[in-house]
Amino acid sequence: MNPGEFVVYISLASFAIGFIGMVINPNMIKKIISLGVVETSVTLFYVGISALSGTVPPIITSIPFVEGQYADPVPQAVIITGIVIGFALLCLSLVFTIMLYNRYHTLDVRSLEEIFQRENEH
Amino acid sequence: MIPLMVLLPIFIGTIQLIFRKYRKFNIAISFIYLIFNLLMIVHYRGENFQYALSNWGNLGITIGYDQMTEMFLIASLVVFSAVIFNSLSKNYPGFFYSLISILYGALNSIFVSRDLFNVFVSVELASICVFILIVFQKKGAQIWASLKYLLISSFGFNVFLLGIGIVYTNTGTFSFEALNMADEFSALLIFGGLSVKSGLFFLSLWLPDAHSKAPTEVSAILSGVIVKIQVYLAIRFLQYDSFQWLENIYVILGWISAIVGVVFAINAKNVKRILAYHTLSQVGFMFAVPNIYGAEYAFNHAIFKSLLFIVVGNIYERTGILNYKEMKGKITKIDYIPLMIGSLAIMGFPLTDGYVAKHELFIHCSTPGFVILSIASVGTVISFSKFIFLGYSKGEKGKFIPGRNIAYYLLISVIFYIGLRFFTLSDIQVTIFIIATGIVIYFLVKNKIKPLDNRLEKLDNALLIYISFIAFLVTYLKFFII
Amino acid sequence: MKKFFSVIIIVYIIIMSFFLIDLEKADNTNMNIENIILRVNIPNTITAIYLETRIYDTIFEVVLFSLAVVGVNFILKNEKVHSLKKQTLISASHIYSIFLSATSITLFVYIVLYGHLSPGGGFGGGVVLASGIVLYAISANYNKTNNTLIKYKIEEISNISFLITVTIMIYTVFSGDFLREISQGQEFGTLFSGALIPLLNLLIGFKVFAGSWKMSNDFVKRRGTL
Repeated sequence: MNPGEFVVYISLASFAIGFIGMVINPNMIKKIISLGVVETSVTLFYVGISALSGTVPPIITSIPFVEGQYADPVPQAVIITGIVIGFALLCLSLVFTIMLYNRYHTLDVRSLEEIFQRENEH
Repeated sequence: MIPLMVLLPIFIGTIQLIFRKYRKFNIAISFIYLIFNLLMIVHYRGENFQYALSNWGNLGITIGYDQMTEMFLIASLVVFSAVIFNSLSKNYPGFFYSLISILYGALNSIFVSRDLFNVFVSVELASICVFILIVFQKKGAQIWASLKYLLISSFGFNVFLLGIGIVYTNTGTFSFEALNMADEFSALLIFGGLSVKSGLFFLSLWLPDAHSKAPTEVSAILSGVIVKIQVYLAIRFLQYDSFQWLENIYVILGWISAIVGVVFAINAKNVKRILAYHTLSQVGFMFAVPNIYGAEYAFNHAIFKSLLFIVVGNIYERTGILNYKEMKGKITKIDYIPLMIGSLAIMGFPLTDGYVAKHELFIHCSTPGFVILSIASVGTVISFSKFIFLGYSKGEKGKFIPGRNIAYYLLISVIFYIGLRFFTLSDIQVTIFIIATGIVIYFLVKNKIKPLDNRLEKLDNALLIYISFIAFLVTYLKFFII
Repeated sequence: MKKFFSVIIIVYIIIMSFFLIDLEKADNTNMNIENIILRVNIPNTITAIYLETRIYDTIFEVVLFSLAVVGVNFILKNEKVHSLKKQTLISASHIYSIFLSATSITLFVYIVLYGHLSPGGGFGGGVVLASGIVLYAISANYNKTNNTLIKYKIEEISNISFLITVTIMIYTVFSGDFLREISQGQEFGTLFSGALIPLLNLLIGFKVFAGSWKMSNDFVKRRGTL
């Protein structure tokens, strides 16, 4: 099996694990960490698809270019942006959680939702 | 020069970000990009082209311009101008204007971009601006709405990233043309990822909370333009081969959303929630006709929905009332006239742009679609009769605030310009019948209004519904398409 | 029940996607690399894509990062701050963290300046530096670090570097080969063959360092409030 394909399947499995974590954990922090797992597995997916064409790092040492089993540079380059976006989103969600905890002293999604339900009715 | 429409707002946004302490300076330089973009839209009017930045071909980013792009650019320009004018009389800090500028740049970028990954980056930049803008007043409910939005939508966009990764693997490029050669599964992932932000009922149930809790200006932007991103992308992607099998699903989702959204809206009492549920319903209208006519409807909806949100928000900020029944007798004449015009436009009353757009929509949809959309329109009329029959109080005189009134005049003039310019008499009896029926039903059900259960909007349920939808799509693709 | 149901659905989707996913690779890797090498003339093709062919995306990324930093700072402004002033010091961790932060500064300079020749770049370098400094602050002396960074006006410098970065990038979007034309005549694989790329990497790295520091600073100040 191509190493890239192997990485792709592993990343899809960890995507599923991250999503299961997002649904079954009532704790907000654990939900956010699960979202982090999802984001990391997407990064892994991109590494996987760039390794489909070979695993030699695309850093060329000598100038007359010789064809070889290079990894594709494009997915690796674009996913840097994806990582930064994931980082920013995680920071923001943690900040929101801190603020919610300071106001309502709970991290449990069910009790938070009950509180807002009551606020809505007033 | 097209990228400058995107990069100038972003550049000005970065300057505003650095000098965020100087509020007046920030407001002043906001107008530079508004004027510049107006000139650019006039200059590129009716053109249709597409090119890669710095001749990089498949390696670079493709930028394009056509009729649909132009329509959405105009919509975002009008809405953002109105929002900036409306915000002048309130004391938002300088950081607010920086967020607005960057959000505007990111939105324009989505509309001119022909590159899948660039779309992802722009949407995420816009989303981060929106997450911060929703919590601007730091109320608990706002934070929860924003957090819920963040979790659901960033999960959805990871699915989108998987989809474009597969497109790149198979075709070797990120440009939109690659969607012609891609397989159906990547189309599924892309559509699944987009649908979570699309504003369709059952798929984006974070929407009523986020739209109704956000500050006035932000609600207008959210309902006016942010929801249209996904409508725009869905309609644009449907032009490519790998998306063809999804067309029926779009239409059926649109019908469901149009009907269910309007049922929730009729039963709501909180004015901002009524408008938010109507956004769900109206997005259903756009998805029911997923072609250029749906896009036209999206343009017109952007105008009148942002007008409605601005007016209702201003009334709420002045009186502190959200229940529409308590509003009776507290609306000044200055606020009531735009409220009425906006409501008439969303009902599809003749001479407004809502009539023109709905007329086009009804002509170009199938017979069952026509029936369902007519029922949804009757629902819209019932729901907006609540606003129409509020009336204004003759006692209160209402202050004249220049910025706010300019915002009203701007949006109202666009509504009437389109409504009068494209007015036709054909099939006017359908519209009159719908409006008359709606008003009659309104007087029958007036006293039975009671908000419906919003259990579906809870975070876990929303995620579960979303993932069940993806499971449905996967099953449909595996057993009926391939 | 609901949880059980969701686990079944997601497992079903993943199993189906294993059957549906098509990983046939388009054969374009070597062609892409050759095109990039011909036009950009630097060994690290990933940096070339990040800062040349898709620089339009990178502008958004840099803006997004700065926006998130300012946003975090703005949102947390009125939240309560941790009241303990005194920090427990463990001498071993103090010494190791000094060593680590010194290493991280060296690594930062290397990763950033050689980002176009070997793996590395602005974002990675900035994160390395920030993690070294943050490690020092939380394990050794938080107040000293904070005062030093305020004294050297890190925030102002990072703002200036941010503005210069965005300006250069926007200019590159329109002028195409602007970055490359500067480096004409330089030998392939030397430090100066990258033209403005090392400078851009340095500026981005500095911005990322200052932003990450500021963000972690906000979190460290409010430790124990969650």
